[in-house]
Amino acid sequence: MINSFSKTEIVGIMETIEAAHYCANEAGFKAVLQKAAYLLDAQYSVCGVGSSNLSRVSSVNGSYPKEWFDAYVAERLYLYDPVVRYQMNFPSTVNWRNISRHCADEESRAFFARASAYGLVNGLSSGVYNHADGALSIFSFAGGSGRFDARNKKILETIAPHLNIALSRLRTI
Amino acid sequence: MDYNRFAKQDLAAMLEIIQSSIACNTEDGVKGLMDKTRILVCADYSISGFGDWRNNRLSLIKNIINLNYPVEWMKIYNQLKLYEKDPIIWRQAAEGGVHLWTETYKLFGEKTSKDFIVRASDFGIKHGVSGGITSAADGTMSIMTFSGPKERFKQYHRAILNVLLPHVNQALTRTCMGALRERNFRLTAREYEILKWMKDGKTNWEISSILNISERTAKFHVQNIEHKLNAVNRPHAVAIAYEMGFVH
Repeated sequence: MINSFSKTEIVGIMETIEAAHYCANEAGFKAVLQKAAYLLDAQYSVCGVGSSNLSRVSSVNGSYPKEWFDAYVAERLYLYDPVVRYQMNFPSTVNWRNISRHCADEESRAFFARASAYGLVNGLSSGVYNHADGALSIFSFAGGSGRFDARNKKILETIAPHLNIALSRLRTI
Repeated sequence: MDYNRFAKQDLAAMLEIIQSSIACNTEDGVKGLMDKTRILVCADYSISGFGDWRNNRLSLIKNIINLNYPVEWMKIYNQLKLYEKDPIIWRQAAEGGVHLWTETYKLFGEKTSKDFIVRASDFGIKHGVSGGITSAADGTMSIMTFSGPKERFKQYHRAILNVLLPHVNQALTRTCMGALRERNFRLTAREYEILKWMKDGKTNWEISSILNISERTAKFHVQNIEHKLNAVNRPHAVAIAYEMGFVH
């Protein structure tokens, strides 16, 4: 799989992994998210980490529209977010298109419609479980070219564990 | 780090090692990482380990993972406590980081190290590149060494080890400290089988159909697995199982 990446892609992945490895605070982690967004050709980036029942949730906004991010946190929209609900059951790297196909209920449709008003139509998310405390981390990238093909998915699959290690480290500082 | 300086195939190999390091927590796994790194830095031999480093004194080398260092040499090295005279160890303990041996010998003065160098070179260990991380907080130092009889270790190889060291070191630490192994993870053969299906995303009903057991029994096994792995739920159990190498 790695051999199918171009040299430019591998260099970008290595730079992102290095940035994740050495980031020491939230500002540094935001920069890592933005670097990852650039690599994935995405406009927006965000990540969140929640306990198994979502009673405790925290997030870092790389570059999501502020108005949407604030509403998401204030209204606890993660409780209704189909991406979060999907990741709670099947932590993996998925294209939002595949989730929206499986979430045809009213609540999910309303959520996707509301998000799309902020340009959040196409995206990729990666969920990683933390064995130490059972918390779930989700890294989301959206907008930009909006293609998010299998190649982008492979890149996110490669860097997501490193983003998660960095996030876990920051949570303990 | 300027990654563009590396050849594409070396970059791909480095990324593969980094990815393998994430979940590595066994001695065989670490040996695999060391071997791949050894090939990348053009070395013949490799060894890694931990030492107690307190008050600027190295008191003990422990948790050694020997990929293929000559056993005879290691016997002499340990019996005569040569780590107390080894300039490579001393520099690693004092500075951490990654260093070419030729530079270290110069730094310590070749006269001081001459006896040691001559002894080691009798076993084909003359040149090399070593990396390590020293933690003042817990008084430990790790070291990873790649060596051979010929002088072919260049700044390029040093740069490769510099990239890989933090990742391989984490795997080494995880393995040697063995914190995870202290937990009681004894699963039955049936539970291993069910865990494999859980990993594939099967529901209790699907597992019961596959294994020809009742759904209630499947649920019972799943709960036992979650309990034994100290998992808060099903995906968490699968994540721990991955971490422990129970599923692949």
